[in-house]
Amino acid sequence: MTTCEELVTRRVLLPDGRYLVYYTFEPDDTSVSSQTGPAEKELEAERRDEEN
Amino acid sequence: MSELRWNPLLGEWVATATHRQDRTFLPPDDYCPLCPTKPGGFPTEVPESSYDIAVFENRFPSLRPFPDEPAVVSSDLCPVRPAQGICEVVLYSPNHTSSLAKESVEQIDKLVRVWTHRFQELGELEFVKFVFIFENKGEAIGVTLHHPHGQIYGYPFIPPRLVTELARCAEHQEQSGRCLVCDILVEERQHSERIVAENDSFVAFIPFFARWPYETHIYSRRHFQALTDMSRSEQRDLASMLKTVLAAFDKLFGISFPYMMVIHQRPVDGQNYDYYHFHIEFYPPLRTAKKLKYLAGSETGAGMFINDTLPEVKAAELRAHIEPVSA
Repeated sequence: MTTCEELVTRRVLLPDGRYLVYYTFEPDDTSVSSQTGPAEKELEAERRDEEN
Repeated sequence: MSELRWNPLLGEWVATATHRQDRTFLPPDDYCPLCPTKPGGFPTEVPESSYDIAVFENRFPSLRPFPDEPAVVSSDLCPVRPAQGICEVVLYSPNHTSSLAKESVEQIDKLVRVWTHRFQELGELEFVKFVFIFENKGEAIGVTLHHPHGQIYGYPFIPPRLVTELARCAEHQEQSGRCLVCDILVEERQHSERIVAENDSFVAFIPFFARWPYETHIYSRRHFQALTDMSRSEQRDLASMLKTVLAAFDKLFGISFPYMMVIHQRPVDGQNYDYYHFHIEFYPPLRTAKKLKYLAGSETGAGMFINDTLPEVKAAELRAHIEPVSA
């Protein structure tokens, strides 16, 4: 079993505004890191503004 | 349309979610919405052509982060509130014909880490007070999609079953100075006849008070409250224990065994729950290979379960199918 893998998340917005998070596991660390980029965060903020 | 309606008789919220009537119901394998989207194929919930584990907001949620205002009038007796919360779907594998039982310990270990991350992330949302991770497996339970998946609900309140458990644990702590779940575990291990499997960090057993014939609980040996409290070795041991129990379930009748799996952990409302103890419970609906345990009048109308079997006998049956698992 691989025991030292870093859990990596990649968050995307689906066409209808829902989010989806892909999880991948890469060698070396055991910490969690997020690859959510500024653009995705902005998109999500816009979506929330619209929903409100 | 979705809203929360208060039941003053039981003191609990009921969610209406009429849009869920139209959700996808047992589609052909080629049109599974939880598979990766194949090049040139119909678009599923997952746009990419492959994934390891993926989590997305349920297309047919009973709770939403930004819900509509209720469409009915509230009263003092029967308040109504927006159905705020979150409903996620967790895809265990891109393989449509797999199941958690068929996955490797390594893949289940990844899932445990994903659960941990979701618990942490959803627990930070201001409107979420309890993160409930669960799986409904099999048509006997009413699943509408066969692809291996579980769900996570972020409730805007502590759900009734957990309110009761927390109250019982708090009372026991106050009276004895000890954890109720730790004490149950000590007693089960002393008698041992209901133990199904053990490893360094977890014990699986059919409890003395089981309500379902093959109801199986997994308790951590160490006293902690949530997935986020686990060490890396405890995460791996949990994956191994889940694989052990699930494989035995499937061997029991030689079928893909249906069950409800629920994870009980501390609420995320900022209060102190040091007296509580993380655990997992399975409620399989089968009492024999072809007979279901129904929730009938006594169970549903009075809340008293009648178990037609003895936990000691069922634990021995399950234990006979326990085999060492490999990563």
